[in-house]
Amino acid sequence: MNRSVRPARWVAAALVAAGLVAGCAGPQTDTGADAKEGGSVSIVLYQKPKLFSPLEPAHGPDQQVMSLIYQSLMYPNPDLKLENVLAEKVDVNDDATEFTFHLRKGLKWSDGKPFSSADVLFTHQALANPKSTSPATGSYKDVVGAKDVADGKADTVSGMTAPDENTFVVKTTGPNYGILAQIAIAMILPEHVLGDKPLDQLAKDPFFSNPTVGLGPFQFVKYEVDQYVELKKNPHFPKPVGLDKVFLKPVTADVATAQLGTGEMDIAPVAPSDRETLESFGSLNFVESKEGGFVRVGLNLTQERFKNVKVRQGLLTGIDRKAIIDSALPGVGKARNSSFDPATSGDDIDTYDYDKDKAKQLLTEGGWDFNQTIKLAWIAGSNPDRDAAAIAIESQLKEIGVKVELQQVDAGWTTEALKGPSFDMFMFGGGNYAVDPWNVYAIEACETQFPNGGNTVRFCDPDLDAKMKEANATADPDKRAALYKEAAKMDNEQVPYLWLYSPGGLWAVNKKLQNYKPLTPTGGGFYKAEDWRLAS
Amino acid sequence: MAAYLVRRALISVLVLVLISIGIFWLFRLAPGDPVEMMLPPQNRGPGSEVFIAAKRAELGLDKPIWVQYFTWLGNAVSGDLGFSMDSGRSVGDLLGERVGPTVYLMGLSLLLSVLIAVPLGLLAAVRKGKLADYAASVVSLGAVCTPPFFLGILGIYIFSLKLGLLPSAGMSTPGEYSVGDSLSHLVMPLVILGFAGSGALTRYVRSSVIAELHSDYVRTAEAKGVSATGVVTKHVLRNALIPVITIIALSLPGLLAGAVVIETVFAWPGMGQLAIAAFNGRDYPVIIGFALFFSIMVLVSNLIADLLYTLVDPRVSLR
Repeated sequence: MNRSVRPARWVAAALVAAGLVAGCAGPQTDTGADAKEGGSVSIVLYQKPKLFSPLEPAHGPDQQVMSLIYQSLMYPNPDLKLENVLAEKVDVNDDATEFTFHLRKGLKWSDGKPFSSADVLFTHQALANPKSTSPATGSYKDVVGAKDVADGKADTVSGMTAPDENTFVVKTTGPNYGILAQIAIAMILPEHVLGDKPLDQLAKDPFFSNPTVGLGPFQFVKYEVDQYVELKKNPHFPKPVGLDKVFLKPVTADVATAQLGTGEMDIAPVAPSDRETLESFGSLNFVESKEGGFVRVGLNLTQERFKNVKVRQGLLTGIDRKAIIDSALPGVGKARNSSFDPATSGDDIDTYDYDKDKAKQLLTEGGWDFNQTIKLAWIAGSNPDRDAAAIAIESQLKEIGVKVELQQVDAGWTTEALKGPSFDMFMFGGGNYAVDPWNVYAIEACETQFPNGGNTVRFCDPDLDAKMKEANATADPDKRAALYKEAAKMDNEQVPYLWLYSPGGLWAVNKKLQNYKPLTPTGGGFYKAEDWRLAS
Repeated sequence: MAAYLVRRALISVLVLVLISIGIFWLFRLAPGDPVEMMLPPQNRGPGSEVFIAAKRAELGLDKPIWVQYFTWLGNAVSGDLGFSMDSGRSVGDLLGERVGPTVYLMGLSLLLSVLIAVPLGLLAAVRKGKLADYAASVVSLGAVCTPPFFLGILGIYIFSLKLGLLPSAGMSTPGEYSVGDSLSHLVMPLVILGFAGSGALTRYVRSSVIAELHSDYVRTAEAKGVSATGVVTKHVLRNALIPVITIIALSLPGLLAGAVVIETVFAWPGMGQLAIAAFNGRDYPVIIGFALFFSIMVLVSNLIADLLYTLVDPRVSLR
């Protein structure tokens, strides 16, 4: 839908602005009955892309582009459940030590070459081998033979094999159901293009700046630096792709908002506070997306003053999270009471409702010294909801006698402060704990304390670790769910983080575009883009 | 003159080396490790430390800083400014890609600034204390006082969103390149930057012309019967432009460094955005490459200013 701006449309826009046309659309449910093939859409990239490589650390805009040009064995769907993509079926043995991926047959790369298990094996061997400098290597540490590769005793991980051209098998050293969500989502690379590159040079290969061979519904055309990424439909995709082209443009939120109005942009994540303005354009639908991560305040648990659980519970009870959500994320934000997703934890956990008296009492019982000051650091200016939350937390905690000093920092600060750890309180967000509850292990287990994992607060509860491990050791979904529910209750009582909210996501989509289903608020990628159609 | 140029060139090389040493050390003092920043805390895992160590080795950051500097200097002398830590692309390519759009936008905006400032400043000076002078002051001070980003957002609101006359951002419509399309994308950032730049320049032209109008040679020319227009255009303007040329020449590096705010507002792929992104990501090779480019521009612009003096004022000679 990229096109020149036409005055005629602006007459309509002005009429809309004058209030002659109004109304907000609910989630988009068009079936595509009156849709046509062809055309193009423009999508916002919230930052500039860097490199389109699964071997690089995850970078949201890169992920967004890659989700359209590559595919993985499995990928989370809009309900944040793992769904088969290149895999037709996945078998997991009872004790979750062997994972067999049966691949879809007859698939072709965008250059027409056949896809097979050799591509899958090549990609996962590369990701698992430290020589490739992939940050994902750690996800494979429990695969049989991974240690030998890490120690330089072997060139390939023996626990990953391709017994025939349609089967890929992963064997782990112990029960580990969670590994599925960690490795099955890796984007698969073309072995026939990259297979002969030395592993230590693979990440630097020029292919990743110009990845024209992929399995996704679209094929990479070019990246016009800082302006847009151009993709065209993949002629060898197994089903018809609805659009001819997709353009992904890195622009600021203000420009994105303006372009949604002018028709220069068709898909963009938007701030809930902008919804009213955008609705006045009359040309947009609004779709909400689920959020697997959450915004939290991490307390430096190496400091004696935060070690008492009552102090942590008191601080959490002293923050009015509902008020923060109502003002900063109306309609989309949801208060969080555990690191585990609400679908895992259920409702039978403490909700730590805002209660000033109870907060003071808990803090007093926990031995809190009300004369001390704590610093609350956060990266200011990148997320309006976090800026609002920081100010609200300072003022709300002040009301219960806790002195907070706000500390605006940049990303560079975090590397030193988290390593120390030299912070008092640090507000941050992200993660995805809905796809598999095992992902919580990385941010709360004793053995994943930073820098060995994402447990930046240095929380440690061996009982909780044991419970998570027990859950991760079974392939039985009911048994696993019950065990994780118990773990979530333990987590909820211990308050390893001051959970604030899941921001949720709100997307504005041109009414002409059908079948768009957002996948997480921003950097998670796109879901079934082959089904996108423009209204005829 | 030739001896002067050689001397200036040698001094410039020395200055560049000193600047590179300063920048190299200065940016490494800034908090934040570029490799650690590649891996957000929530993405840390058991293999993260191995990844960080491997990346540091790959980027040469595990070596002492003086080794890093001399390695970089050796490569830079042969024209290799290194590779971006962020994207892995050549720094020379990254800078080269942005020089074109930057020169295109900034060069034209400077030209527009001059085209606005010279007649307006001249008019204000000749009509000093009259309505035209006050009107020119309102325009020029308005240009100085109004932040370009505000004009940018206002322009997008009016000309893109409300009137639909101009595209809101970018250098061209993706997939639909044409000269007309490219020019329509240029209009708003160009006019805003040209207008913003004209404010101070108008004031310089005005005060410079006023100073010249009281010179003896003006009285002499008038006494010899030269018309008022002739005095101003043939005699006054030429002398009045000497300090203005200095201002313009010294503003050249700033222009080539890009206008970060306008580039951001209009999604223009210029140098300014590259520099900000590189600093935020502690992308040392890009920051140093950019700083070096900027330094060269400063030195070259100073030299141009000095050479232009000799052209407009024969009394000045370079030895």
